[in-house]
Amino acid sequence: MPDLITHVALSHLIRRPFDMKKADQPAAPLRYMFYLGAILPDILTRPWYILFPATHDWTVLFHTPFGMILTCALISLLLEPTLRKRVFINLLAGSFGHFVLDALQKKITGNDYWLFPVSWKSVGYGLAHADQFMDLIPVWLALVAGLEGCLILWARSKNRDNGALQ
Amino acid sequence: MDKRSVALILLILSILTAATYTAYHHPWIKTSDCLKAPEAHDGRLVTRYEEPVVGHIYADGFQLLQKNEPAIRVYSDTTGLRSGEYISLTATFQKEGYLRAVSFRIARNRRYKIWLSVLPVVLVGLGLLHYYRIRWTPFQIELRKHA
Repeated sequence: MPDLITHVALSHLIRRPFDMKKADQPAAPLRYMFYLGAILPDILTRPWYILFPATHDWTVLFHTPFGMILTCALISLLLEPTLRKRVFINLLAGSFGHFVLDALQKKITGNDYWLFPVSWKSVGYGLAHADQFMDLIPVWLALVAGLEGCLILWARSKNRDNGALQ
Repeated sequence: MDKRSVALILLILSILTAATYTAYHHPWIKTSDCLKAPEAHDGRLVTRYEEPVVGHIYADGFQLLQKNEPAIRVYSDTTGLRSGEYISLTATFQKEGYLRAVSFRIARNRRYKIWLSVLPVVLVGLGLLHYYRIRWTPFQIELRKHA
């Protein structure tokens, strides 16, 4: 799996532009649910089996789309009713983004069980090794900074236009 | 009992059932399984290791160290290997009690990657705490007023 900085940075690059469309709704809280979805498959598995390797066979479920559908549904049910549907969509989209990114990683041993529980076939289509993703962290961070810069400029020009109209 | 409680119980039961299934019906074998019944596992592909690290390096291979698993000799090319490094390995078990590597790669900077991954977890956690709060009765996570 790529590191979690890569996961969150790429999730931000994908999710952030969607907030510009719906200016009437609070965007950041749901965006954080998307980020949570993006790290959820790893934080529910890796810490446990790094510290206690025997837990791997029990927690591997959370690193599958099927396991994430159940987990995201469980988490979203803990929220207030008006948020549940949107939180579920954001969590699930974030976690599926995680699986797509993981599938880009070259692996010696399989870990992309997209078809579980139907099959244990690992369906990765590796392009780069985990350490090669890590070498690109400065690039992801620069892209995030660039995107945020563009959004600030866009918001300023929009405000200026609105002011000129009034 | 309300609908939400029923749904929560069903989801928890589903997760527990699926986790039990993965624990007992997975396709991978570990080196300890092989060493317990060497004849039965002769030639089987081993892909699952518990935090595998390269131990002593020999001219024709290396010793594989794992957490909670016995050390085992691996016959392989030793180019690029360094003692103490994490390794990704696929190997076939031989009934004599050793592994023959099929493919491997040193997991460069794995420790660094683990520590680096703590940072986004903390940042996302702080963001969630900033925007959401827990109401205990009835138990529910809700948006803070300022969000």
